[in-house]
Amino acid sequence: MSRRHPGTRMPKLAIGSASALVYVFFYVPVAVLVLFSFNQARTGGRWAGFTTDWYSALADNDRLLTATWNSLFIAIISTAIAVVLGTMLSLALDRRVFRGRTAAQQVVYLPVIAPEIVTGVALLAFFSLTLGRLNDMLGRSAQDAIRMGRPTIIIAHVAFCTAFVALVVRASLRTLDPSLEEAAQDLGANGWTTFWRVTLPAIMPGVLGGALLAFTLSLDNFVITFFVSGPGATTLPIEVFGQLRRTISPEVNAISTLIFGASTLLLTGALGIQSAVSRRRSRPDGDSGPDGAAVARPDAGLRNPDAGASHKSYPSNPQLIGGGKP
Amino acid sequence: MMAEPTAPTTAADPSSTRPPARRRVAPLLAPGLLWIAVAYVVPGLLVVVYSFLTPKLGGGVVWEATLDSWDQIVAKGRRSTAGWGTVGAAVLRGAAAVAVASVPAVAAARYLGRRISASLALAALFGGLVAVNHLASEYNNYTAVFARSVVWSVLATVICIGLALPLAVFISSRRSPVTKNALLIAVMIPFWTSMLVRTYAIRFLFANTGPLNNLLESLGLDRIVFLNTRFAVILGLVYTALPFMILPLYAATERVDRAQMEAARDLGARPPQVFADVFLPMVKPGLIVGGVMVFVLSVSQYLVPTLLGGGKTNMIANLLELQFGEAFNWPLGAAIAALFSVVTLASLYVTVGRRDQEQFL
Amino acid sequence: MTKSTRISGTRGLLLRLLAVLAVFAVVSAACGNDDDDTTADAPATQAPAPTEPPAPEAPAPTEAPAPTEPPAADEPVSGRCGDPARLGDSINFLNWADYIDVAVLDMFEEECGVSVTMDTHVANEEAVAKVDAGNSGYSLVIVTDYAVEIMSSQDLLQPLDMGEIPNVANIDPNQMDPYYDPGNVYSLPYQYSTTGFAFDVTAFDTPPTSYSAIFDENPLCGQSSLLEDQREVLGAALVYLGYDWNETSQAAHDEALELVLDARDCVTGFDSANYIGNLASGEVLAAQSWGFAAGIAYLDNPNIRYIIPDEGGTIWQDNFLIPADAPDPYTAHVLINYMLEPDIGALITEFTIGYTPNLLVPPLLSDGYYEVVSGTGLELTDEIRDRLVWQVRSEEHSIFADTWSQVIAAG
Repeated sequence: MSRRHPGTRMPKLAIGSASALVYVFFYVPVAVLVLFSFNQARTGGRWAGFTTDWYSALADNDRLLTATWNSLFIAIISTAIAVVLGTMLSLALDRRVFRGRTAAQQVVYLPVIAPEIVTGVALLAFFSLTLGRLNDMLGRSAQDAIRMGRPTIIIAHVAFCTAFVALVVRASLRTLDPSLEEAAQDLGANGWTTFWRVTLPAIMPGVLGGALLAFTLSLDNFVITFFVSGPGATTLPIEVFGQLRRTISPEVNAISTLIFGASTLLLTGALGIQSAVSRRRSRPDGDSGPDGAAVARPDAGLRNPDAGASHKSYPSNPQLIGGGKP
Repeated sequence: MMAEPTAPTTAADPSSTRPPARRRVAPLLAPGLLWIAVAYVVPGLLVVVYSFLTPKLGGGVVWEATLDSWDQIVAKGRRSTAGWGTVGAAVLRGAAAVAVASVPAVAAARYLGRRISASLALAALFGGLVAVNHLASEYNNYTAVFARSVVWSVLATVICIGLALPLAVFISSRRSPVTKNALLIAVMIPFWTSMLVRTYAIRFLFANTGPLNNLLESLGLDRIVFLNTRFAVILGLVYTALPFMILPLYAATERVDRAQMEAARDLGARPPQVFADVFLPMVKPGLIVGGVMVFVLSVSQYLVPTLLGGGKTNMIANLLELQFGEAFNWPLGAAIAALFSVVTLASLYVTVGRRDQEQFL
Repeated sequence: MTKSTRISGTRGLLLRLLAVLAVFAVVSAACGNDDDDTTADAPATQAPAPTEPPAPEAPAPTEAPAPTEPPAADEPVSGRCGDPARLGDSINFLNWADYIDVAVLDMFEEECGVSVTMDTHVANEEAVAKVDAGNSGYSLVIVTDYAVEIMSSQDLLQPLDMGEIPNVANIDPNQMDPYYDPGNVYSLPYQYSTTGFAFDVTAFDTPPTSYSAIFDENPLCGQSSLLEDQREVLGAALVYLGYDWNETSQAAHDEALELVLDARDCVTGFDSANYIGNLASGEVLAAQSWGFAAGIAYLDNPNIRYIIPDEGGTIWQDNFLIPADAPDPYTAHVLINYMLEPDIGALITEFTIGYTPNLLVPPLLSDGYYEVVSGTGLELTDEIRDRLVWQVRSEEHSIFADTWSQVIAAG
C-alpha cells in the first residue's frame, strides 16, 4: 500500500543523499573537535601527534568541570520546567477560547523575538532591582545577601525555553483532532485521563521535540546567561568564550568530546531499550487484545493515534501512512 | 485542574462537551504566562522607557527625558549620500525585480495550474521588498544593518527549509520507530557540544590556510576567502538554526497523508503539482513554526557574526553590543532594540500573514 | 479504530518517554554527585590539586620560583594571610578571562584556607554593569584603567586600606598615581601592557615601523587584521593622520572613518578573539595587537615580532578594586596583598606575559619569560614609553562609538 514516500517521486536517491549531506554538515565540525582533543599542539591548525594529555589535565581542571556541571544542571532543570509550562500554555492557547487570548499569545512569543543582548541587560536591571528590594525587606547585609546565580539563570532560561516549547507543542496540537478528546470524554474519561491517555500521547513528538530544542537552547546560551549569572555560576559557554581571549584550550575540546560521547552512549542505550521493548511487545500474542493492535504497529508511537477524522484544512489519516501492517 | 464532569450521559448533547472554552483557563495559562511576563514584559517595557532617557557613562541611564536617541537614529544615522536619488534607485530596482520575478512566477503558475493573478501579486510583493531593502540599506546606517540582518536571516531560513525538507521526508519514511528516533537524535547530539567550540572548528575548516583551501589548492584552484564574509555568516546561521527547522518539519511530515498524494497522482497530477498542492499544504504548520524559529534565532544572532563575520560582516546584535557595551549608550541601544523588534514583527507579519499566525503560532 | 488501540498506543509512548526520562535521571544523578563534590566540599576536594600546579594551564615557560616554598602542612595560615580571626572562608573574585594562573588561587587556598571562586569577564563594561547592579557578591574585581575612573565617579568602589596591604611598597612608582585614580585611593595595579602591532618577521623585507603597513601601502592585503575595538582602531587611524589618539573633533573622525573603511577592504577582519591563533598558525601575518597577546603568539610561532609604531600606541593597566558593597573587604585586602607578593606576582606575570608593576618580581621571572619578551620585542624602554598614551573616556568620547557604528554599518 505504501509503495512511495511522501516526497512523491522526488527520487529516493536525491532525498537520501541530501539527508546524508545534512549529517555530514553537522558532524564534520564535531569530528574536527574530537580530533583536536587528541592533538598535541596547543593551538589548532596543525597536527603535532597523538596524545591523551588533555583528558588527564581535564580531571584536574575544576573550573571547566564546574562550568560543565553548571551548564548541565541549568539546562536539565530549565527544560523540565519549561516543558510542563510550555505544554500547559499551548493547551490553553489552542484548546480554550478566552478573552485576551491574542494578547496572551503575543506575550508568549516575546522571548522568541527579543534580541538576546537586550533581554540580558534588561534582566540584569530587573533582577538587581527586585533582589535589592528583597534584601532590604529581609534585612540582609552585604555578606548574606541574596544574589544572582544559578536560580536567576534558570528563571531566565525557563522563560525563553517555555516560549519555544509552546511554539513546537502548539504545532502538534494543531494537527490533533479535538473530536478525539471529545470522544474519549464521551466514553467516560475525565479531563485528566483524557490528557494523559489521548492528548499527550498524540502531541508527544511535539513535546519531545520541544524538550530537545529547549535543552539545546539552554545549554548553548551565552549572552543572556552572562548578564544574569553570579559568583560561582559560570557556565560552559561563558568559560569557553573567555578562553577565546587567548586561545581555546584543548581541554575544552576534550570535555566537548566527552559530552558528545556520553550523550551518544546514553541515547543509544535509550534507543536500545526502546527497540528491545517494542520487539518484545510486538511478539505475536494476537492483536485482538487491548494492547496488541497498536503495539504491533511499531511506529504507532510517533503517529497521531486518531480515528482519521478530517480536521482543519488538512486531514490526518495516519493509519493509511504505511502503518497498519505488522 | 480540568474539572470536567465524567458522567457519560452528557455525551448525548455534543455541545455540552464541545466548548472546552468553558473550562477554567487560568490554571493552565497563568504559570507560564506569568513567568514569561516577569522575565520579558517588564524588561521589555523598560527598554522602551530607556530609549527616551539620557545615557550615563558606565552604562545605565540618567532619568532625564530626551529624544536624543531617536534623533541620533534618524538624523545622524542618515547617510550623506541619501536623498531623492536613493528613493528613485529603490523604485527602479523594485520595478526591475517585479519584471524579473514575474517571468518564473507566471511560468510556475501555468505549470501548476494556479491563478496567474495570484503569482503576479507575489512578484509585486517581492519587488516591493526589494525596493524597501534598497532604501533601508542606502538611506540610513542603522536601517542598513536591520536590512542586512533580515535579508541574511531570510536566506538562512530558505536554505534551512531546503536542507530540512528532504531530511524530514527521509526520516519520516523510515519504518522502524527506533531508526526514526536514532536519526532524530543524531540531529540533536552535535548541538549538545558547545556551539563555540564547533564554530571554532568551522573557522579552522574554512580558514585561508585550512584544509578546504588546501584541498582547492592541491586541485590546482585558487584559494577562496571564506571567513569573515557573508558566506561564512550565513553558513553559520544555517548551522546553528537547522535543527529548529528539522524537528517541527519532521513532526509535520510524519502526518502527511500519503493516500491523498497517491490519489492526486492517480488523477494525473504532475509530481511538482503533487508537491505544491498536496504535500506542501500538509506540512505547512511545520514550515511556519520552523521558519519563524530559524528566522528569529538568526536575526538576533550575536556569536555567529562575531566569530565567523570577524567584525567585517555585522548584524544587529553587534550594533546593540556596541551601544550596551563599549559605547555606554544604553538609551541608543534601547531605541535600536525597540525599532528592531518592530522590524522583526513586521517581517513576520509580511511573510507569515495574519491568518496563519493566528492559526499556527 | 477503537478506543483500545488508542490507549495502548499511549502506553507504548509513555514507555518511550520513561526511557528518555530515565536517561535524564541517570545524567542528573551522575552529575548530582559531581555537584556535591565540587560545591559542598569545595575546600576538601580542591586541596590536593595545588600540590602540582596544572602544567598545561600555563603555556608560559615553567615557573622557576613559586613552588619552592610550600607552607608547612600542619600550619594552614602563613604569615601572608593577614589576621586569621578576620579572614573569611571564601571569596568571590571577578577577573578578566584567562588572566591568572589558577595555581595562584589554589595556593592561596592552601596557604590561607580561603577558597576563591573566580568568575571572568571579557569586557570592562560587563564588569561595570555587574557591580553597578548591586550585591554582585564580588569582593575583588579587576578592570582596566578607564573603568576605574567610571566606577569611582559613581561611588561603586570603596577606598583601599593601604595599612592592610604592606606589599604596596613593592609597586613601581611609575605605575602608581595614574590619571584614572589620583593617589591610588581605590585601585592598585595588577598587570599592564600596551597596544601596538604584531607581525610575522619572515613576511617583510624590512620590518614595518608605522601604521602605514595597514593604512597605506598594506603589503599584506588579506593577511592582516585590526582589533575589534572602536578606541584602538580609530585611535590608530587618528594618530596615523597626525591627530591625538583621544581626538574628538568631527572633522578628524570623518577622516579617520574614511581611512578605516578603506583599510577594511584589505584586512581579514576586526578581530580581538582569533588573531592570536591566526598569528601563530600563519593565517594572518600582521595584526594590531595587545602586547601580551603577541608574546603568547610567539610561544607558538617564534617569528612573531611586536612594535609600537612610530606614530604611537596605547598603554593600559588592569587594577585591583574592591566594590563598595563587597561582602568581605578584609579578605579582599589580604588577597590583593598576597598577589603582590613577589613569588605570586612572578607566577601571574609568567602566565599573562604582561608587565608586572611589582619591582620585586622581575628578578624572579624565568629565563623563558625573558626569552619571550626579548624575542618578541616587548621590552618597554623609556623611548617607547614616550610614544604611549592612555585612552581617556568621557562623555565627549561617545563620538568614537558614533564613528564606529558606521564601520559596523558598512558590512
